[in-house]
Amino acid sequence: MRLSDALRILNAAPGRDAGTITFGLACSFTALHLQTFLAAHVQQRRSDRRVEVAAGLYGDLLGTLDAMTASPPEAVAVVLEWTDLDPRLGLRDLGGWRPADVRDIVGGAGERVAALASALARLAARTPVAAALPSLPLPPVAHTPGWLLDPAGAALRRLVAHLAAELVDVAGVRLLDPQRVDLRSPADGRLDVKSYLTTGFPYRMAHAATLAALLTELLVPPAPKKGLITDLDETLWRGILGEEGPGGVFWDLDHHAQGHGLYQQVLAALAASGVLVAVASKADPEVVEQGLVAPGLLIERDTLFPVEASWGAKSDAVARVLAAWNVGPESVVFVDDSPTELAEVQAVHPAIECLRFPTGDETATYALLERLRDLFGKERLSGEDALRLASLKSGAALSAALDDSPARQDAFLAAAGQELACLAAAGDQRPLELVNKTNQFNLNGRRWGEREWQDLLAREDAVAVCLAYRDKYGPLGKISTIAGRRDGATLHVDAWVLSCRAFSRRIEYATLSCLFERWNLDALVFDYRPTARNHLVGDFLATMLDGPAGAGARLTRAAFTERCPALYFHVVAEAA
Amino acid sequence: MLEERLVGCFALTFPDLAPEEIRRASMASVAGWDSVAAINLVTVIEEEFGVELALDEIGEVASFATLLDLLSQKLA
Repeated sequence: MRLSDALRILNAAPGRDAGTITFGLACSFTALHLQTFLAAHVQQRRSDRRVEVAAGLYGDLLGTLDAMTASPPEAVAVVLEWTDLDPRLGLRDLGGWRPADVRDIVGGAGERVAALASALARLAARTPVAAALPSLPLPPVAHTPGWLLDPAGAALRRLVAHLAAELVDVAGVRLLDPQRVDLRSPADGRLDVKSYLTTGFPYRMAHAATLAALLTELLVPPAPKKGLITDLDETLWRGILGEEGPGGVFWDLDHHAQGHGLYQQVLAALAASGVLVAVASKADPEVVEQGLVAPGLLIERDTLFPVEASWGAKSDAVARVLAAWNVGPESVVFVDDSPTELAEVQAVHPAIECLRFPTGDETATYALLERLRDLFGKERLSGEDALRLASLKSGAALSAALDDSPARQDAFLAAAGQELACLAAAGDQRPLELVNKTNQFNLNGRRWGEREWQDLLAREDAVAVCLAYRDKYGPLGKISTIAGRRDGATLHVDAWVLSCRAFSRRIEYATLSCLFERWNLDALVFDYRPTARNHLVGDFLATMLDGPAGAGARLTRAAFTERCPALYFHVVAEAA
Repeated sequence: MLEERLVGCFALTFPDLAPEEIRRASMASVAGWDSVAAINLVTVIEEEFGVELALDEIGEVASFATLLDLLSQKLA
C-alpha cells in the first residue's frame, strides 16, 4: 500500500454520522505514516464506521500506555523499538556509545523492559493489545565489527525475547511474530535515517506499510475459514488412484512426493484443530474408500467428512459438502490440482476460496501450506473445536430423524436427553467468537469489536448468556449467545446467534423460555435486521409474532408461551 | 497534465479543499496545512511523480504554485 492509497481509503470512509471507532497507536517515535497506514488498513476491515487512530506523545511510551489504560480505545497497537529500552539506542539522542555507556544501557534496559511488561499487562486488562517487537537494526554501538555478535547486542535481544515470552501468556495481548515481519520486510529496507532525524519517524514507507498491515491482522482478525474440501489424485497423493490402485499413489521422499505428505500432515493438524475436512474426487466411491484406508496415510479416514466420490461435476460435490456441513461457501477453501476443476467450482461457488495444489513444485507447495495456516489459523483452540466433526455427524443422523412427522419429532426429542446449560457470557471468549462468525441464525449480522462487546457486558442492565448443549448423542459445546439490555421487565436483545450445528433441536425456543423464566421478563424486543443470510431468524420471529419481523420486533411472554412447541430440555442455569 | 496530477495530490492530502480552491492553495490559506500535512503532501507527490524532493526544497514549498514550478523544473 502506498500513502496515496491509504489516503484514498480514508477519504472515502463513512462520515462521522455513521459512528466513529477509535483505535490507539502507542509508540515512542513520531507515528506519522504508520498512523495513516494503520488507519487505512483497519478502515478496510471496519467499513461500517469511520475509523480513527489516536497516537500518543512522542518519546513517552509508558505515559501513552498509562493514558490509554485510563481511557481505553477499541484496541491498541503498540510498536516497540530499541529506544524503548534506552533512548541512546536511537539516533536522536546523543547520550554516548562508549563501552561504558553501552554497559550502562544494558544494565538499565532490564528495568525498562519490566516496566513495559507491566504497563502492557495493565492495558491488556482494559482493551485488546497488538504488540510489535523492535524491528529496526540496533545502531552501531558495539565495539565489535557488525558481523560479530557482541555481548551487549545479545543481552538486549535476550531481554526482548524474554519480554515476548512473557507477553504471549498475557490475556488480551497478541504479539506480532517477528518471523512474519522478517519475511515481508527485508531488514536492510526498514530504517529511514533521513526521515528519522528530520521528523522523528524512523521507518521507510514500505516497512511502515508492512507493519500496519500485519498489526491490523492482530487488531481486527479475519474470521478463520471453517472447512477445506480437497481433491485426491495429484493433490492428497501423487498419482491416479483409479489407474494405479492404492499401491500406486505416494506421499513420501522416495517417490518424490513429499509435498503431498506435508499436505496430508497439515490437513490432519487442521482437522485436529476443529477444521472440517472433506473430499471431492472424480472417481468410483469404492476405489476412493480403498485409497483412504491405505496404510501410512497421514490423515485418518474418520476425520474426512463427507467423502464425495462420483463422476459428476466438482461443483455439485462441493454443494453437497456445504449442505452436509451447513456452512456458507465464504467459510470454505477448495484445493485441487486441476485449473479446470478450480475454475468450474469457482464459477458456481464464487465465494469459495479456490487454491491450486501445485503438484511437482515443492516451493509452491510449501507456500500453499503457509497460506492454509493463515486462512485457518485461530488464536486459541476451544472445546468446541474438538466436538465439531462429531456433532456434525450426529447432527446428520438427527436431521434424518427429524424429517419425519411432527409427532415423531416430538418423540425423538423427548428421548434425546437434551440438556442446556445457561452460562454467563462475561469472562468467556467464546460468546464473542460466536457472535462474530455466525451468519445464518444471527439476529442482525452485526460484528462486534472486543472493546464494545466488553462495554455491553459491563453495563449494570446487561443480560448476556452463552448456552452449551448436549444430548445422548454427544455434546455440541457452547453453541449460542444472546445479549441485551434490561429495562424493567423488558429485555432489548442486541445480539443473538445460534451455531448452524445446533439447528433443528428447538434450542432457540429453549433459549427464550430460559430468558423469560430466569429473568422474569414480560417481553423481548429484538434488534432484528435482515441480512443476505439470516432469514432463519426472520422466519423464526415471524412464527412467534403476528407478522413479519422488523427492527424492534416485540415478543411478549404470553405470545411466546402460546406459540412455543413442546420442549424437553433439562436446563442448567448458571448465569446470574 | 502535470498540473492535473498535482491537483490530484492536493485533493488526496486535503480532501476538504474544494476543487476550485486547490490551484490557489497555500500554507497560509489552508487551515489543515500543518507540518504533518506537508510531509504527507510531499510523500504523495513523490509517489505520483517518482521524484525525490530534498528537505530544503520541502521547506520552500508553501503553495500550489511554487510546487508546480518546482516539479516543472525537476521533470523538465
